[in-house]
Amino acid sequence: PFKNPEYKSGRRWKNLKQVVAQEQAASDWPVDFPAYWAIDAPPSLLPQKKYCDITGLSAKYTDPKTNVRYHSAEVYQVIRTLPPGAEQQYLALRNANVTLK
Amino acid sequence: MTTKTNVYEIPDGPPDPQPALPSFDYAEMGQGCNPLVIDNSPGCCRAGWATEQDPRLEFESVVAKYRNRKVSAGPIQLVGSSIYSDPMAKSSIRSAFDGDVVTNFDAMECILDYIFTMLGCVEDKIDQPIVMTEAVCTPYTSRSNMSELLFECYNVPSVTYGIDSAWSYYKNTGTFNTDGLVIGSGTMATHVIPIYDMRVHTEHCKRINIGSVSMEEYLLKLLQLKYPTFPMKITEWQSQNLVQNFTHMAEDYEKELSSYLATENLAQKDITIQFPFPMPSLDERTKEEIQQATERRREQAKKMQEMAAKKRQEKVEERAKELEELTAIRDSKDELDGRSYAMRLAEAGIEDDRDLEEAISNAQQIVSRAQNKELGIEPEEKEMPTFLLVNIPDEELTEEQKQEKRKQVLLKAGYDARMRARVEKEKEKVRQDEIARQDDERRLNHFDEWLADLKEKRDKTISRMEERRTHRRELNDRRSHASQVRMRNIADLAANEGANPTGKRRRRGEQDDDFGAEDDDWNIYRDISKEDEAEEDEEDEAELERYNKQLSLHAPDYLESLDRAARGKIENATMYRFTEGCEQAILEKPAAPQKLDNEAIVARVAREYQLHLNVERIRVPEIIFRPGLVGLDQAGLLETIDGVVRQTGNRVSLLNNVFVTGCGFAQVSGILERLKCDILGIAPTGTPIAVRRAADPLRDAWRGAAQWCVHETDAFRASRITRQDYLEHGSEYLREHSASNRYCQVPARTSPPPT
Repeated sequence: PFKNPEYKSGRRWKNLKQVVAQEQAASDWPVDFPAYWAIDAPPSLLPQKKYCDITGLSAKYTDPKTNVRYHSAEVYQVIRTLPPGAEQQYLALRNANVTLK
Repeated sequence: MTTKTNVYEIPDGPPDPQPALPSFDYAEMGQGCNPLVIDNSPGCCRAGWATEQDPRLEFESVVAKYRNRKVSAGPIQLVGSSIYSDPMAKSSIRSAFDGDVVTNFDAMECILDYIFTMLGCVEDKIDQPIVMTEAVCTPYTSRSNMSELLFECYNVPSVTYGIDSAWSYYKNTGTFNTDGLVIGSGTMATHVIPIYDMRVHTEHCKRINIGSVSMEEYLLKLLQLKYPTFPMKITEWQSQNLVQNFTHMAEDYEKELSSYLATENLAQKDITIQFPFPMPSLDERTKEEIQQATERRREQAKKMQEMAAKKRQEKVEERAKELEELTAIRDSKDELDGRSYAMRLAEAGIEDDRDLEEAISNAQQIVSRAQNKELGIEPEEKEMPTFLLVNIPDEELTEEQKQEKRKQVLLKAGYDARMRARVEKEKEKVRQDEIARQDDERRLNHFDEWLADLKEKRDKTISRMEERRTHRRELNDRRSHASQVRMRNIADLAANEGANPTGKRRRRGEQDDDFGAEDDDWNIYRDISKEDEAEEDEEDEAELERYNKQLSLHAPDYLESLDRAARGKIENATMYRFTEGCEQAILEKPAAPQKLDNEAIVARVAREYQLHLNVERIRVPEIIFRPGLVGLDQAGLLETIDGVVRQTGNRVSLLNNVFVTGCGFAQVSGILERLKCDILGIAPTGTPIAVRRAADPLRDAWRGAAQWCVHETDAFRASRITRQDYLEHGSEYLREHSASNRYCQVPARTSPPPT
C-alpha cells in the first residue's frame, strides 16, 4: 500500500566486484578520497610467522614435495600417509593450493 | 576413565524461530516526524522507532521468493529466520548484501516491505524520515540505488546515512567530542576508523576483509580436514555455534600455542563436541534373563540327548529282533527241507549259509555291544588275532596259503602300527602331565621366577607373530628385502632346471628332470610361496591365549600394566592429543581381556561421533591479527591500527580510547586484553592506553543512531537528504555529518582511464 505502483523493480543487479570496477573506471577520483577500494588495508610489512598446516602449532619445517608446513617429525609421518588430494586441501586453507586453469 | 567435564552436546540446527509480531501503532508512533531507524548490516537487520530503547524488529537480512502452487498462486516472499523452517524456501535464499555493501536491491525492497509492514504502516506513503546505516565508504552506485529505492518506491520525505560503528561509539561515549579509535568488526569485514575533531574521518580508515563469516568458514574447513572420516556433515550453523561459544583470543599466541597440547593444559582446554548419534542395538537383557536363556538352552540340549539315546535304543531293539529271526531261520534249517529253507532264506534276502552266519554274528555283536554299554562294561580288548602263517617261510605254503599269508602280513603290519601309536600317545600324555606337574610345583615354590619365565615366553610368542606379520607385509611390497630374496630363489631354481636338489646323480642325456620324485622337492614351494603360514599362526595364538589366561589368574596387574604402557605411548603423541584430546586410547590388541558391557558399547559408538576442539580455539580468532593464516594478503589488526594512527598525524590520544564494537570479533572473549597487550607494544612508552567494548556490541549501533537523531536535533536536521536534494543533486548525494561517510562531487571521466 505504501509503495509507488509505478516503481520498476526487478532490474539486473551487479555484484560488488563489478560495481567497484565500474565505479573506479567511470570517474576521475581525487587521490586521497576514501573510495571503497582505497580503504583496503595494505599488505603486511612484517615477516610472516609460519604455522603448521595440520595442527596449527608453529612450523619450522616445510615438506619440499608439497610445500606443506609441519610442526614435527611425527606430523610429517602423518603427512606422508595422507591420501592424494588432501595436501592440496590443507594448502587451500591459506590459499597456497595449486589451481589448474 | 577421565571424567568428562568438557563435553558439549551440539544441537542439530538453530532452535525454531519465534515469528515476529506485527505492531499496529504506526499512527501514534509516527507523529511528530519520529524517525525510523534501520540498522542495515549483512548479518542482522534491525529496525524500529527512534524514540524507543530497543529495535522492534531484528532479523537476518535474507529473503526467499518462491512459488508454492499448493499453498498460493503467486510467489511467496519470506524474510528472516523463518526461511530456515521451510526447505523450499531454503533453496532459494538470497541475501541483499555482497560483502558489506548492498547490491541486490530486489532483496532490499523485500526487506523494506517487511519492515514497513511489520511496523504497521497502512497508508499511501511513508511519512517518517529514515535513518539508515551504510557500509564505510560505500560505492556511489550502491548509495544511489538505495536512495532511488527509498525516494521513488516508498516516497520517504528524507534519508540520513551513517556508519553503524560510529553510532555505536556515540551511544557508549555520549558524544563525538572525544577522540577515539573505533574498531568495527562486522560479519564480512573489520574497519579501523579514527574519530577526532568531532567527526568520523573515513579518509584515514582502513578495512581488513575478515569478519565473523571468515572465522566460521575457517573453523568449518579445519574441522573437516582434521576429521576426514567423520560420519556426519557439519553444518555452517553448527560451525557458527562453536565459534560463538568456544573460541577465545590468546593473549600471547606463540606461547599459548606451544603449550596448548601439553598434558596439564589439555584437560582443561580441550572441548569435546558430541554430535547426535544413532544408538547401537544393545543386548538389553538383565542378568536374570541371560541366566534363564542359558538354562533353557541347557535343557534343550538334554532333551536332544535323550531323544538320541532313545533312537539308539530302538535301533538296538530292531537289531535284536532281526537276530531272533535269523537264529530262527538257522534253527529251522534242521526242520525244514531244502527248498522251503531256500525260499525262507530268499525271503530274508540272504544268499547262502555263510551270509546267514555273517549276518547273525554282526547282529550279535551290535546287540552285545549295546548291552555292554548299558551295563558299563568296557568292551574287552580284542584278542590279539593270530597270525599263524606269517612266520612260516614261503616255500612251505600252498598258493591259497600264500594269499592268506599276504593278507595276514598286511593285517599284522596294521595292527602293530596301531599298537605302537597307542603306546606313543600314552607316553606323550605321561610326559605332558609331568611337565604340567613340574610347572605347578615351580609356580608354588618359586613364584617370581615362574612368572618371569611366563612373561618371557609370552613376549617371545608375540614377537614371533609380529615377525611373521612384517614378513608377510614385506613380501607384498616389491622393493623390500624379503621380496628380493624370494625373487632370487625363483631365479636360481629356474637357472638350475633339471638339477636334482637331493643331490642324486644326474641322468645323462635325459631331457626331463625328475623333480618331484622325492617328497622333499616340493618343499621348494614353501620357500617361494607367499602364502600364510596359517597353522603356525594359529598355534602361536593358542599359546598366547594360554599364557594370557595363566597370567590373568596369577598376576592380573601385569597385563593391565602392559595395556597402560601401550596406551600411554599412544596418548603422548602430538597428533593423538590433537585429534582426540584426553580420551583414553583404544588399543587394537589389548593384552588384558576386555568385557564390553552395554555402557562400554554405547561409549564406543558415541566416541565415533565426537570432535575435539583444542588448538582451533585460539587459531580461529587469530586470523584477524594474521590474515596470512587464511591466505589474505593484508596487514593484521595491529599493523592496521598502527598505520591509521600514523596517518592521522600520530595522534596517540586515539589510543587512549580504543572502542571495539560489532557482531564479529568484538564478541570473542579475550580480545580486549590482547589488544591492550599488543598496542602497548607499538605505542610510544608512557602513552595511556585504554581498550573497551561496547555495552551491547550487536544493538548499540541501532541505539546510537536512535539516540543521536533524537538528541542532536540540529545535526540531524542538517543531515537529512530530502527529496529535493535527491532530485537536484542526483541520487548519489550525501549530506555529511559526524557519523557519515565523505562525499565529494566527482565528475565523469572524459579521458580514457590510465591502464
